[in-house]
Amino acid sequence: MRRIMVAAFAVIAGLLVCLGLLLPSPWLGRVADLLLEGALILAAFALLLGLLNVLRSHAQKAVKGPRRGQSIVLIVALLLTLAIGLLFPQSAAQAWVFDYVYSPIQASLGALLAFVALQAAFRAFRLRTVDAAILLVSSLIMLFLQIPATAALWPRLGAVRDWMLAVPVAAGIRGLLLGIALGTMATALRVLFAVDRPYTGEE
Amino acid sequence: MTPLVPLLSGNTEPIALIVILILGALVALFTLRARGGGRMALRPLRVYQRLSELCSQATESAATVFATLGSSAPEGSGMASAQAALMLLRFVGRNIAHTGRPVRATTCDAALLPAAQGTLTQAERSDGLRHPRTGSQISFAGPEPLGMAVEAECAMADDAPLANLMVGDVGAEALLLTEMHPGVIHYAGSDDPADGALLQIAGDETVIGEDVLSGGAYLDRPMHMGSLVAQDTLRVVLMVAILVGVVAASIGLWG
Repeated sequence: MRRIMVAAFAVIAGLLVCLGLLLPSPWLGRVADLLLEGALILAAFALLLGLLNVLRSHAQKAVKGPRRGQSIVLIVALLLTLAIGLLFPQSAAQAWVFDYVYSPIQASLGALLAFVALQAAFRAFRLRTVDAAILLVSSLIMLFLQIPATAALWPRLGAVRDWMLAVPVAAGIRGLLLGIALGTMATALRVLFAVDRPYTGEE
Repeated sequence: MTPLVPLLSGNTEPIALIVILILGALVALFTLRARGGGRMALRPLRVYQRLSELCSQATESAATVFATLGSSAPEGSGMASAQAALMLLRFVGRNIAHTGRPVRATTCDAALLPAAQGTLTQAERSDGLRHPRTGSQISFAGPEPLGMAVEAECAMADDAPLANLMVGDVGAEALLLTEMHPGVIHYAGSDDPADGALLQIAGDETVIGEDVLSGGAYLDRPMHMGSLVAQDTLRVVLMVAILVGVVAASIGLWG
């Protein structure tokens, strides 16, 4: 009975939000806004749950994990940042943490991605599959067309590059996006029709 | 009662509504057919075949499986992607729970965390585990994909899993995992075209685009066949409409 009620509530709420977004009815719009605000508030509480999850998981690791030091650093940094945010909101201290600690670390790790991507591509090319060959040829063509020096060789190369981006590349991506949009709608409709009931956790 | 047609003439999204209604009708029709046991063919997707084999392999070797669930929020625009991630988590969790080696997972969306915990607990219960774990094997790694990749990297270095499932908005950070743990079988799935291109070269088994969202039909939810056939039917209709539009515009009849 509980599951039926949960499913019924979810289906009704989903339909109201969908219709509220698509039809110009003021009361439907207000109901949809109310339900969406509720979802946002729940998502904010989920962030609090996530914070507690991080603390619990790393507190356990700090006691008996193989990376105790890392977990201790994480907990201390988390609590320190939280304290600065709570005690001095919108302050220079808070901005300092983000500008001089968080952003540089993130940028450094992000910079590694370029090398990692190159390594992954090299590994893929060595496998000599059809996918890798297509990737290699298309990457080389685009690289060649993007280099400013190539424009000096033949001035119309810029137009070729623009055509390639606007026609074959855009067509391929739009085809992919069309399929994804249909898949997303079908997934949403399965939830709306209660074919899938992720909220009850049942199969 | 307000008739539908005047409603559509105001501040509405009539085309969106019509497409949703058509797809809704098709999903309902084909889902009922699927429920009635109607035969529908599926083109084979290697990644889902390999996923079933992975569960057998994990059972035989009693190895653990790791899941990197990405940043798709179940309540936001990434809902479909999050559903796909939960679907795979449920499938693997249900099929290897009895081995005693839990599926471990990490996510960088806080709302996906309780959803994944509930899904995994339910999956373990359905595998006959009398005392399913409470979901503590799923961790939140902060709201950034980079943090998630670092958390996953540490967990994989400690546990040496058999496979890593990366589904949802995992971002380019997934490359860190594939390159730092080449001995692990990396299953990658993304419905983001940019991520898909990277995962295609980095993952051992990759599924991109809408195929990510059709996992249920291939794995353990035959009811999903209905929505899959509905999608394909509407796609054909849209393709014909696009072709007709292009021809009409080219000969000056429209636009």
